[in-house]
Amino acid sequence: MINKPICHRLAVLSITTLVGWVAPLVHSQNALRPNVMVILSDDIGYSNLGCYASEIKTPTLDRLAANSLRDTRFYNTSLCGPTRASLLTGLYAHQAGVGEMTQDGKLPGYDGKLWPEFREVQLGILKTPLTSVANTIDLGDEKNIHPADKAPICVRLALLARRDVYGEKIVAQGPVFKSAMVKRQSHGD
Amino acid sequence: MVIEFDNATGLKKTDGASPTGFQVAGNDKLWRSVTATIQGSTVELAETGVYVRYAFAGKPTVNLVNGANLPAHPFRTDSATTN
Repeated sequence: MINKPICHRLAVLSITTLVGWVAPLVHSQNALRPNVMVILSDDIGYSNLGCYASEIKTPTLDRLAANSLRDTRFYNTSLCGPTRASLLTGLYAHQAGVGEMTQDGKLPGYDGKLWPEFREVQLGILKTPLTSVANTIDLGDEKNIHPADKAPICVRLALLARRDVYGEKIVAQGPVFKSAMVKRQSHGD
Repeated sequence: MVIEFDNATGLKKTDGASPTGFQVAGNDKLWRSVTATIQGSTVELAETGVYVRYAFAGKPTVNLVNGANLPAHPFRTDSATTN
């Protein structure tokens, strides 16, 4: 994602093909608090990484792992969305209504009812200084977990990097709610 | 009801339809979809409610973007504690 000094306090790198938010970077303002980075990757088995004895060379991730807590008994839910739902809520995926993906499965545990709340929690990360979120609410296909429209995610992350890392004065975010006002009726004088 | 946004320069739709995904509710929190119209850099809703929300669904259908073709962020004016 975006290359920043290793002073991230919490950065959830979610490589996903799913509708949702991608939070690329969080910058720590408080040196006394530990820097924690959670890497949750899709479609990768533990046997794909050198630090888990794979024949595939992954030196950068291996160096990270050498100075990290490496989960050896962590089980995901076999799908990206439900796994992230668990990570964000502390609930089993079915308790969060994300037994599968974004579609409404019309069954308890599969109704996707908490997706908007997940996005809201993810958007809350913007309260942390020097944090960016790429909004992908318009992308994806609820009938296909591998939709074709992935390029716009990269484009939006690149816009955020240009604005937040390179300091360009560009619009890198969509409309963000500011206020709702009841329109006054005009009664004349 | 008039909704104001930041980053709203060039507010537009990506299709010929009205902006979708806007809902209002009273204190009863019974949400109903409302007709929305773009007025400059604001969105005007045909009905008024105690609460308003946008794109607050599992896979909402949305078509509201700004001049940079970036989509509006989902939002709600109620909160988890008012559910």
